[in-house]
Amino acid sequence: MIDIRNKKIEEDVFFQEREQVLSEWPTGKEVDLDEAITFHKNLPPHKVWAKKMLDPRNRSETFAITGMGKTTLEQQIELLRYVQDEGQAELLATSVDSFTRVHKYDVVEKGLRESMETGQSRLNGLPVVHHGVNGIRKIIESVDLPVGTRYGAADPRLIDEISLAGGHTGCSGDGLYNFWNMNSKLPPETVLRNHQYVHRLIGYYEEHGVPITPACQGMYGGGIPSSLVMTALLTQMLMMAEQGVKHVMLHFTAQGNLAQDVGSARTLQKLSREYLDRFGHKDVVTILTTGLSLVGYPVELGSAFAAIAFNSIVAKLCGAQINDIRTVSEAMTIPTKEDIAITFRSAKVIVDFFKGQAIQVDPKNLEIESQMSEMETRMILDRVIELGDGDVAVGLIQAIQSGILDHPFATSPLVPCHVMGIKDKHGAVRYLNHGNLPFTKEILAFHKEKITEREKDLGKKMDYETVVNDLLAISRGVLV
Amino acid sequence: MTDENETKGTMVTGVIGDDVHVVGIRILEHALREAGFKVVALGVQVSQEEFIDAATETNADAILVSSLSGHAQILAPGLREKCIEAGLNDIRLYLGGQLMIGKTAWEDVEKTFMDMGFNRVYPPGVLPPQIIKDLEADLASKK
Repeated sequence: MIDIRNKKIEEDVFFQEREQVLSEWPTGKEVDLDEAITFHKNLPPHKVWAKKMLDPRNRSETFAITGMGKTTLEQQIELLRYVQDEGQAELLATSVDSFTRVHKYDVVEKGLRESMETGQSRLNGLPVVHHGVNGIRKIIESVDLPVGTRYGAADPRLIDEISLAGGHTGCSGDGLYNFWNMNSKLPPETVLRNHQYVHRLIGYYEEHGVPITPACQGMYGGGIPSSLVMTALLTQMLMMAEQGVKHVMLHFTAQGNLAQDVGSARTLQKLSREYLDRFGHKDVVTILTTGLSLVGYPVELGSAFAAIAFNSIVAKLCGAQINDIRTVSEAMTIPTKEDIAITFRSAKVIVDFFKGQAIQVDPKNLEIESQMSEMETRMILDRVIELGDGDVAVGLIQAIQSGILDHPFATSPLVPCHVMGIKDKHGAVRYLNHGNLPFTKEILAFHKEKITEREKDLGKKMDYETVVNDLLAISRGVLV
Repeated sequence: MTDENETKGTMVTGVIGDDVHVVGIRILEHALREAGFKVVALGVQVSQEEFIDAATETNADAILVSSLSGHAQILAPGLREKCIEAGLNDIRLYLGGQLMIGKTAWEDVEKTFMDMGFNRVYPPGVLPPQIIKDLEADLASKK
């Protein structure tokens, strides 16, 4: 069993591990860290994720982002240029195919060959490992915007080595998100440790003056109470910072009740600063990203556009700088370049309509939700830290095993999944079952009261059926 | 309703291959249990061999394969042949999800996988009652 601690990986240990990571596939040999640092330093600021986002002119802007990945370099370049020009995008992405994410490199090889022969994408994203550093550079050099990778992977070490050396300036994920949402085989220690490696790599780039911005999400899914998401996220932010990450995209998953989403986002901004400072990371900068959890994506086009509009309004209200949206056709297919461009355009128009206008959520409910989410998040997070005697990684392992921090729909069989969220009559997510979360009676009573209100409306007890209905609600065009 | 010892049939469920999209199959499993089926849930990232081993061990009536990664053309071929090799001659194979990459007419998608030996193929958006209705019809015709 790996002994995991929230301690910066020693440089010699890191470089030793690196040799093994880079030997996993022949293109690993192309990675030359010193050369990559020089390449990054020569990128103009408008092509660097952190520099673009922290430019004072952009601090109050809201830029859309979504996944985009084709199999061959030519297809990917065509896609990104199209989204940049026709979609008027401000940020671009490289979605990594899901065989690469699970290291099925032989299947990738076959899919890539077939794609080159037929001109059709056979893989659901770009196989970055196979294209290697030189291939990725062609993409970065073909566009005029920052590009970040998107993937979920239990072991993304080689993916990040290659895609970062290739010139990506943003990247995906934290260990915890990938442990419970993207993994069925590995224990949390291993997944967290793999991500510590990635964050140590980013830390190395940062030490040499190259800003790289990873996303920190903690947990993903529909019907998950915000305090659960935020606790997971904050633990990962602290683990990233410990490895030397200096720029973090805090990716908050909204659920559709505006008071709760905006109140929680406010809590997240407050607590992220407080906990970073408390653990000595005063120089770490955060960038807020919001994405609306859809669960079942809307199949019908009108509803899909409406979901993008709503997602964008939530981002605007939360004060998020990045608006993470789902492509209009994503319910049915891996999107085409036209689908992606039109998605970006519609998000941009909505956001632009709000330019110079102040919009706000009912202040009374906002205050309540903000306070509740803060109280709940502190209770879980402080308990996690306490379990680890001040070490958040040690505490996390214990918290996951005991359900002190839990996930309702984890893909990993090692998670209790005793906790369950449900919407109240206004679409705010409450705890139907709090599992083993360390809550006070007062907090539980608040949730119970909200649930009872909806039960009265429904004329029946909330059960699994209601949970399922909640999960499918947005795809049916309603919030509750 | 059926009593505890009597089920409408045994279903092996799982998400195939590289895929981790778990919520849809969990909802279906819940609905199947409610409808009186026995469910052997294998979770995510399940290989063809794991589906077949579970079906053999539990003498299953059907294997319900979920795939949302767009990779079903790579992951699904050979499942029917492997079932026959394992002696599962009349097992029903259902497949559902986001099966192909890019825009392909649904009839073509359906035909691609029916030709591979699947008995039913479903697009995204189909809800559990439809699948349960089809299962009941297919299993009745089998008997």
